[in-house]
Amino acid sequence: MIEQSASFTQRLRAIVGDDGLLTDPQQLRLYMYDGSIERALPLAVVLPRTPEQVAALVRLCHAEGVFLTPRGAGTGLSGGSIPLCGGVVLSLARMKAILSVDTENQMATVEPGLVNLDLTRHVSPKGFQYVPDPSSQGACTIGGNVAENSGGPHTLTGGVTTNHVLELQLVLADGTQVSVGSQAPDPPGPDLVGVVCGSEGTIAIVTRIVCRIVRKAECVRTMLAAFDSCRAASEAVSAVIASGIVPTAMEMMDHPALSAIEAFSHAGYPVDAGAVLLLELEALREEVEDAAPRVVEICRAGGASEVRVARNEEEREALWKGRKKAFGAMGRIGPSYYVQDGVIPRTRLPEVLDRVEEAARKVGLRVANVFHAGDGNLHPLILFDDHDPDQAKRAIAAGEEILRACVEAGGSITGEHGVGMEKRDYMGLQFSEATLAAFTAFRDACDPGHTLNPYKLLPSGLGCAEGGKRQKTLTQMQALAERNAAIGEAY
Amino acid sequence: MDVMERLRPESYDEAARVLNEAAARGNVAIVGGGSREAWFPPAREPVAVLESSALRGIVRYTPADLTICARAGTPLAELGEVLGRERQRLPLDPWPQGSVGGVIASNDNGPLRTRWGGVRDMLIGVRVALPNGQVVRFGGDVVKNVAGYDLTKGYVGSAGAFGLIVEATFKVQPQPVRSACAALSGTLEGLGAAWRALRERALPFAALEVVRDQSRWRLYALAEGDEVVVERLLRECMEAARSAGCTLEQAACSDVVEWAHKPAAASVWLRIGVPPARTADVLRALPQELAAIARPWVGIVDVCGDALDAATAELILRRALDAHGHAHLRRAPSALRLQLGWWRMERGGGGAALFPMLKNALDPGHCCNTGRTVYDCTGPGAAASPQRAADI
Repeated sequence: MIEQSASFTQRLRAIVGDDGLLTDPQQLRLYMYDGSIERALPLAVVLPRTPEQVAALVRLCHAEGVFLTPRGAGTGLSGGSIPLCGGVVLSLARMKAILSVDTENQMATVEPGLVNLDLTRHVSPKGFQYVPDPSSQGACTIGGNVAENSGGPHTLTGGVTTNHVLELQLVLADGTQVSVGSQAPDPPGPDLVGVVCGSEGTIAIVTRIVCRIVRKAECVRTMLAAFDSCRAASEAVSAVIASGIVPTAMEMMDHPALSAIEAFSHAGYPVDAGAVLLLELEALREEVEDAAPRVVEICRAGGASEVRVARNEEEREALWKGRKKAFGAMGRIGPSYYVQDGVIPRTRLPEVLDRVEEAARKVGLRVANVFHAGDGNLHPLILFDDHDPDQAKRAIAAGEEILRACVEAGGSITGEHGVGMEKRDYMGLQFSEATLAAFTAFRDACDPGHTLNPYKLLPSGLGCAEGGKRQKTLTQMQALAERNAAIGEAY
Repeated sequence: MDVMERLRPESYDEAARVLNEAAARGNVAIVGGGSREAWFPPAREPVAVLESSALRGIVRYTPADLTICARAGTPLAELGEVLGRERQRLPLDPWPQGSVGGVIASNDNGPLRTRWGGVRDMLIGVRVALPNGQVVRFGGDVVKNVAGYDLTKGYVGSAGAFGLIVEATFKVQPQPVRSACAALSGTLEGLGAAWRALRERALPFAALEVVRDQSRWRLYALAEGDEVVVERLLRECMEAARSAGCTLEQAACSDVVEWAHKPAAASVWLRIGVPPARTADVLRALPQELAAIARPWVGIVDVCGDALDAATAELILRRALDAHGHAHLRRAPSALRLQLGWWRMERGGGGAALFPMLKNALDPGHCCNTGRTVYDCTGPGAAASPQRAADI
């Protein structure tokens, strides 16, 4: 076994070179984590520099039946890049080049390890931006965004990652390199780019991305409105939409979140408010000047005690600063947090927020809410002490209760963080057995050995319900997991 | 020969059951409203035709959520009427309109594609009857949703290859308060300068259509929104016309619609897609006798006419491919169809690999509309598609 593992390591090294392979346990520990509460140790980490190296690595792991977990920046919040069964972590961090920018066609070709914000920074002097802006955009990668189909505060009108990807170069599970999509609109046949986006690294590894860049809007206006309660703020959100105005962002923060954020980033938020709405309008100057006073009016009519409009870019950035750093600020009010990502139809916000509150109260924990109110994407942060196993258990129980409430309100268990390993067993809340079977059949068709990011996205126990074929796959996977563990032990 | 059995299920479960039963006997042709049936190669040797026409009506609609869920056989026009009562709309304006399911399966769109994107940008969920007799649901009713694989997207442009779409949910939007249209006329070069100048200013025109009728080139700009927005956009048109040396003409919003309806009435209709900056290259090379309607900000060119010989068509298609684009011969007399087939596209190999994976997962018996897509059609009507390396 030792001999075999040594030769496997040598073969990894032959592909990526000495500096592209990590096997020192100290270094490997850095790859145990992502932004979720899960962790697991890989047996090796590889850092390829070219699509060809990625393909060779995938071919090797495919042939040897060794699990492969792709990883961007490790900022994911659902455990998607955790090497659950050991195996190899394939970090795309070194493939971070901007290969070309084509302003005439409004597109850029980038490598997957490019940090999201670096693309906008690069094209900004030419007046362009890359629209999807997850709060972690200063660290997360575009490849990771494609895997998770990430959103952000500005997706209400701008759309999520999938709406900004035109073409993808992929390495499939057997190591073949292909591309899907087109730089020309509406290529014939099914929308395969759309199928790959959000597949969480389970059907292919993305090695190159052609994404849309757009001209920055002529005028942006950001405003903050303070309300007595989340209910009042939620109703204001619906009232704005009903008036025919669709802001580019509508973010809500509740009272517990506000105090934490203010203590952390001194953004100047009104800490005594029950809830705050951060609204942004982005359009032609005339349109913004016409709509902004109407939004202010609607908020006041909805009971806003204060409405503040940013007068310049500095004030605008200050208003956003607090929101973008909100998750990090939670350390001010609790040792740790467990964040959920359920989505509901916007009109159901008031009642579901009540249920969120109740779910936390029932298990004796506090909850802070920071979320995308415009598209009904909740982010309840359940505060707990991660050194206390009982509290952790209670936090998870409250999280499940919240997801149940979202699904019952006609929504989804995840809006932008992905299923990963964290929510795979909640998939059954949202999807029927028949739909889950279709997902599984697709996964099996793309990667029969489940080598790529195993045990993610699909319910862990699904196989048992399905009998024959799947059982066999599970048995094979069990054997593979043991083999992976054995290779790991050889170190 | 027997008259082929036509199945018109009235419920989702019935749809799945009859599809399952028919699939046990052989291949099934799946059709929506039938308005685009001739745009795709025929389904291979079907034993039955399955239609969604009896699955009609709105399932859920909460105007304040800006989403609507309808059965797949609902005509797009009916959906528009329901939305219109609440002063909302689905900004998808293909012609012919057809049914909800049909517009998804054919991935069609119209002039509003310029501002609002295509089906993939509006569709948030589908329910589908599969040949295994099950009804499954991908996506949902909420505008953000990353739970599970986004197989909803796989149905966009699927031409019925993965079962019968029985229901769909879309994002919708408020109707614009006002619409107005301006037309610029001039040389293709002059109009090109105008549409590039307008694009550089990130102006939110709802539609921008360059058309050629005989030897005249015209650029229609459709402005929608609040009063102030429309006024501003019209002013910008005036300015662009002046600096590009074009003439500003009177135009009505209905002009845009009329032009968009032309290709469906012609005997030859070729839809070309190229990277947007290559639009003018395609237009410049078109022979005089053909009319053209293009969306220069998107890269779509509709070429239509009453006659087109195969050699000329090949030249046009060559130009589209050279510009890294693709083409779909939507309408053609049968002789031309036999010579040209259905599509031209560069393939990065991904479709050839991923299409069968979707097909094997959703229609493992390969009995649903097999042969109707660019990836599984065969025979003289198939596409001649050069393979391209994966490198992009």
